[in-house]
Amino acid sequence: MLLPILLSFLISEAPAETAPPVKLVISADAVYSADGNLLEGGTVAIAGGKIAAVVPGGDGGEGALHVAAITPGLIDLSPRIHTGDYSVEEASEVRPGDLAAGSLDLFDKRWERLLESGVTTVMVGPAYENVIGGLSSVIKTGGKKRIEARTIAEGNALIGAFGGQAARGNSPVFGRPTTFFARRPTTRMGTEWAHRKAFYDTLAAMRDEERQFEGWEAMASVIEGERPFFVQAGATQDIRTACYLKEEFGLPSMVLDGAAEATREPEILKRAGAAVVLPPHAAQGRTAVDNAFMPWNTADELLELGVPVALSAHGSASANANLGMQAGYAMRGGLELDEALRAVTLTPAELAGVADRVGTIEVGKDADLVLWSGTPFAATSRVIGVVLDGEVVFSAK
Amino acid sequence: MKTLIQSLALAGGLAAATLPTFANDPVATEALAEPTLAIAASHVLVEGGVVMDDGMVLVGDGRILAVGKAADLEGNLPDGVNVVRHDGWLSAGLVAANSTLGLRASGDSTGPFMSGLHLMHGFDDESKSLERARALGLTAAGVEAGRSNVIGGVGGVIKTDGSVLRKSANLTLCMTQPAVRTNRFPTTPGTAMGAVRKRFEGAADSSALAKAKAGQLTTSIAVNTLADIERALYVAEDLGLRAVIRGGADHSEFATELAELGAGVALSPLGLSTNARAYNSLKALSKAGVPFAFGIADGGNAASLRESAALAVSGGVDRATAWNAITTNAAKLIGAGDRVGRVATGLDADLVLWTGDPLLIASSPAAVYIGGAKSQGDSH
Repeated sequence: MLLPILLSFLISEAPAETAPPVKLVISADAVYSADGNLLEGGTVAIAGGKIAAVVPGGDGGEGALHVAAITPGLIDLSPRIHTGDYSVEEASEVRPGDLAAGSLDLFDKRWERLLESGVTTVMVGPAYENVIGGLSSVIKTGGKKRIEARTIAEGNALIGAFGGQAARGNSPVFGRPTTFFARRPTTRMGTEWAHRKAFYDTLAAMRDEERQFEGWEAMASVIEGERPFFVQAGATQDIRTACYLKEEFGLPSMVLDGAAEATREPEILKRAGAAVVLPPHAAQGRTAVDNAFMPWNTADELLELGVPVALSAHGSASANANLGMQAGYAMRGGLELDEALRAVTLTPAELAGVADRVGTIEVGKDADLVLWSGTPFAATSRVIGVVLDGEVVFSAK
Repeated sequence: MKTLIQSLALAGGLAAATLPTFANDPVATEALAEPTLAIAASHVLVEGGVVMDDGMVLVGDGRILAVGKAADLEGNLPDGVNVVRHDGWLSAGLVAANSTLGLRASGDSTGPFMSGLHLMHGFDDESKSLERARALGLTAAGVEAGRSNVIGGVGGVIKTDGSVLRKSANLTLCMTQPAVRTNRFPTTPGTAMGAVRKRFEGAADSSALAKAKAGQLTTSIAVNTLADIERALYVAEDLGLRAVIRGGADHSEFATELAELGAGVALSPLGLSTNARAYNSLKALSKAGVPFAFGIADGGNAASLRESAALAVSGGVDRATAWNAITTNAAKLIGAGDRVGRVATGLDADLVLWTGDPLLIASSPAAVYIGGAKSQGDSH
């Protein structure tokens, strides 16, 4: 009944005569737009793959899609969809110029599972176990299976790793290396040395053409603040090392990935001005990142400190560990619903530099939506639908 | 007599470079020779779906001079023509879209980027592998140099009598196993892809990479998984390559895009365990108009070609398409469609006499002619 009225309203609101036709209208008891606004009883209209209107009221009318809640599509900056042995470039520990595009397998079933868990956008790097792993891309988790079609930002961040991961699986700690595998660090100290050498080499390359090396521009762009340094650091000592590195080289922007113990030394973290992506919550607190310990109130404490926080499920799509549940767990640790929502939508979008495209339900942004059976992130709710670029890509019927 | 011989305009000089896709190559015929050999057969498999009963092929100067009904042709034969009558089938010699025939091993472990390798530096024209292939009815094949290198070398087109049809015809790329997962840089396909792009972009004018970019060489890109095909398309589009996707079991997802790109597919041999998905993929490629043909795996033999075509028919591919996949389309993909792959006037007289329908496994070659010369000592 209301639908024709609503549609005519939408059409009259359309900004230009060239506006694409409204293709999909979804109403909900609650529309969480993730920018702080909550519409109790609202309708979202989609046209041309973008959000065309968000209006209060409306049960959508007969035959229209009506759900309990709508949130923006969730965003995971650390999905860790790796392709097994292909995820580490063994030739060197520092590979700043490598791009993510060629390292992905879009036919991996994990993409569909992620999408069905409500994650519509992820950030992926070429390699996570290298000290410097190259430039990441931000891609959609669904749509056409071509990397160009799914990419919304290429080279948005430089990927790096501190701690045990970058040193794992390398040359033996004693005896001579038996293979060519030349990634050298086998200790945290070695990893830190490799980081600092890479940045010092970059400073030299910026001054002296003759000292330029493969991928130096990617490193220089981080020093110049054109893109953030997105570096894994889970344990207290690694977070400390990363913060010192940021200060030593004056890196304007750094995101600590998997920073489980980020609240241990709050002064250093605050002084460095780094943002944080937390690893998945673990029942006993011991996360998968170097076994670092993360209390469930970590996200809450970081927000109190004024540190931007994004949550990650590390690619899990299982009902008890997916990104929605991570938000729920963070709420159990003290976050309000809107804070938890922001930590899986707008904040990661901002940290990845794609907030103009995704992260909130706003007119003009990509129509990436999660449709919920009840209050988002509640253990009693589930994802009943996912909209990606205006298309219903998952429907739990 | 000469009125029977269909003459085509001289089309020499039309090199592959000007052909963005795998169109039917024009056939070049010079001055017409006198026939010296006439082969009559109960069934002549002219090409694809065309079978002529009681046909005859006239051969002179190594070329096919005429194809017609035996009744029409034999009355006008000049004296001295050697007439062979075969109670069975006659077809064009089989063509492999790729192989390592005449090379002991194709991959070179010197380094990942080996565009300096060249077929002619390793081709053994007396290799037993050529003789064995010939005995199985294979007369021409693409040969690839450096199949397990990220950037391999320049390969060509050979005949199984040891002659070389095209010295430089293809360049190979491999961004999957085994090129990526070996004991050297690079170990990830992403890095390999970046390195390939960089090398193509910085290629010197006369280099193999520049020739591949200009379409003078076909680029054979090895794939295995769907992600590999996606990567191969990305690279081919990005660098503007005249690409043949080599390997992979299921291409249906990309059939339309392969057609749009003008790319071909060189398939790995089929086996009895080949599943419906792979057969459906062949049908999808066929429907989209993507030329596909079978190649010979490293260490494989030419028997796999006819087996693959026969299995393709069992999987629902039409006979003509299956036959083309081991003759006409294979010739197209290796850039030799103007010379081999069909029984047509002006093409090389590479012919096989079969005991029965060559798409039946029970049939076998009774005689093999290359350039009009019957190969000696072949036994089957």
